[in-house]
Amino acid sequence: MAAHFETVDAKRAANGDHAAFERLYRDHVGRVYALCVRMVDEQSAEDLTQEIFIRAWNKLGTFKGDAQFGTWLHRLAVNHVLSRRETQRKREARNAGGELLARVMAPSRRSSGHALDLERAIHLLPERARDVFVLYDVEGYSHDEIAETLGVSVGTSKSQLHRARMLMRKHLD
Amino acid sequence: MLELLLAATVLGTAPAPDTVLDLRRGDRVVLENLSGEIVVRAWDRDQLELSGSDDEISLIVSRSGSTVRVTRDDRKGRRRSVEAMLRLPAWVDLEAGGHSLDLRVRGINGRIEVNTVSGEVWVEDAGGPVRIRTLEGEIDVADARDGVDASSQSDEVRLRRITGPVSVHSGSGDLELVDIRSRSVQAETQDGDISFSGTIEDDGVYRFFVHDGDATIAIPSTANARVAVSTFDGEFESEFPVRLDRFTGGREFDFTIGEARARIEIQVFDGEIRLLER
Amino acid sequence: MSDYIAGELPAGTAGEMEAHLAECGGCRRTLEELRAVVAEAEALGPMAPPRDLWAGIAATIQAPLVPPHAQTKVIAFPGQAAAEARAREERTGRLSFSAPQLAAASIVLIAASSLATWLVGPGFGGGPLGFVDAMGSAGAVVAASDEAAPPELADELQALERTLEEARSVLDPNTVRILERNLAVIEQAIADSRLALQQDPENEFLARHLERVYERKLDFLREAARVAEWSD
Repeated sequence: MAAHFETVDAKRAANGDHAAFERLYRDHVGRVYALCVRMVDEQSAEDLTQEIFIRAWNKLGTFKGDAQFGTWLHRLAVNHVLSRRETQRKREARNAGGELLARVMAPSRRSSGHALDLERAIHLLPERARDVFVLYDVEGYSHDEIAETLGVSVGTSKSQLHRARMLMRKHLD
Repeated sequence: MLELLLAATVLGTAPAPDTVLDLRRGDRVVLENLSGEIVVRAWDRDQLELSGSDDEISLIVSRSGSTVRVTRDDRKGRRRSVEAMLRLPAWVDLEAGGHSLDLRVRGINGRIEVNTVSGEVWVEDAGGPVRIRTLEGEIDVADARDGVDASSQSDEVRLRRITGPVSVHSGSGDLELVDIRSRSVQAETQDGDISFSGTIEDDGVYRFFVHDGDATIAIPSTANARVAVSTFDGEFESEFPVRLDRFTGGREFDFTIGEARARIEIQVFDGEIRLLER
Repeated sequence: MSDYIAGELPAGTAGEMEAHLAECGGCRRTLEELRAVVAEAEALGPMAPPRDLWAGIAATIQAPLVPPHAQTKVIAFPGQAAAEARAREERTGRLSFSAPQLAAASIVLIAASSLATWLVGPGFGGGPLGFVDAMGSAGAVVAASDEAAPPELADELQALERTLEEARSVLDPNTVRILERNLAVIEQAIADSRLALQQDPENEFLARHLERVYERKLDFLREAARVAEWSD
């Protein structure tokens, strides 16, 4: 039922209904924001989340309703995060002395205990391994989907996942 | 007896016997339909030297007129994959082709032409024009002084410190063009991002086309150029002051940075356009 | 081991793994730790942003054509009109802009220090239109989307597609896969452009863009034909 209402809201939003779009935002912001924090960092996550919803608004006309809105939005979010990160990297590389942002993020205000350790440990992973870990173990994507999204082979996705889990195991000791 | 055994052991583990051939100015070296990993380095002798990393080189070198061919030795069991190092005089023209070929070339000042199906192509320190075509495989060219024409259908193309005309294309990979000094640049990708950082010469023409991806163009603050931006479903962002000279229906507009000397065209079907100061 | 956790190992290999685990305490511990990592990761939930982000989003999607004050760096364009334009587009299949909007946009002058952003309107093309199965169910290398090709390219496109179709049987399967994947990217670009052009037939940029994509398709087919020649 929820999915049905979402599809209706998505169609309304595509016709310019801000209230419908706000309902969609409220339902999905937590997952999108968490994705941004895990795949990039807490500092950038707010901006990224806003950009993703603005991009979604602009692209609602292409949402066909054959997939769930959440799936569509999430895919758009992952693609946006990847492309933004790439742009950011290039910009940093170009800037004088361009040092990459520190990987270790500040303690999260909303996580605690073991979950906090896990969130921190995610940020200690090498980028490719982190992408695969977040998409597979946290978000539930398949290796096929990950391979397509990240532009790697299924074998690479599997080996990076294993690498990530082995590293996580160490970080969590 | 002991001495003999020792000699045999040394021979057995020594690097493969090298093939050496004298080359003359105007010679062209062709690596024909190879797979594996080939490293080409320039040296100061007018000779070709071929060495393999295993005890039997499965390559043969033959000359016909001014063309010197390096081909697979099919008598040795049709080995498909080779690993070899080739030393050549810097002035030689080099052509290489193959199915699954990783090729690394450094220091060649003649013409370089590469055609592969898959595998990575890395070219460094090239004094002559460089042309590379691959279906699937990264292309990386650094320090080329007479232009680069490179196309990979499905992988990234990276150029660094290039002078001379630049034409790059990727079907579904990113194009990364850094420190380009050229008066003619064309970059196009169907599904990937373009990033460009380079000088803008007064009479230059710089064209960037993206179907689905972003274009990030970084140019000096002193550039003099008329910029034409076209997009269907994209965003435009500029660090330069923008005053529109022409505006046609929301998705195409022109403006001028400094004086209208060079021409910059940026066309993005679906993606973001960023014009930044270098 | 990750394959084992996912239950993706073939029965024989999984059996061997189990036999080994029964004997090896080190591997058993590693497996348990890995399972713990997976379980914890799966349990990670959404996070609330530290502040409400909706206001910023609403401001952009509802933004008027001209920024409300000079400090505004983002100019949504065509902004307010977007929703109406989109609605209109659905009715008429075309997007048009009124004269006052054009006039307003053409006098926009941005101070040298500021960063200007135009959101150049909501589109109808690009993005998740759905993957175009360029190869058809038979998996032929040839795609059939050439009806919109520029006439001067059509003959060569057809000839090359025929050549490739014939070469398919002699090509290395891996090469065929590479070719198909790359052709699919081009077909997607063609499909995007045609759909956009259908909805906005007067758009010159789109017409040029479609032609350009067809030229790239031709380049690609030439490349593919070259590769096919080698494979004899």
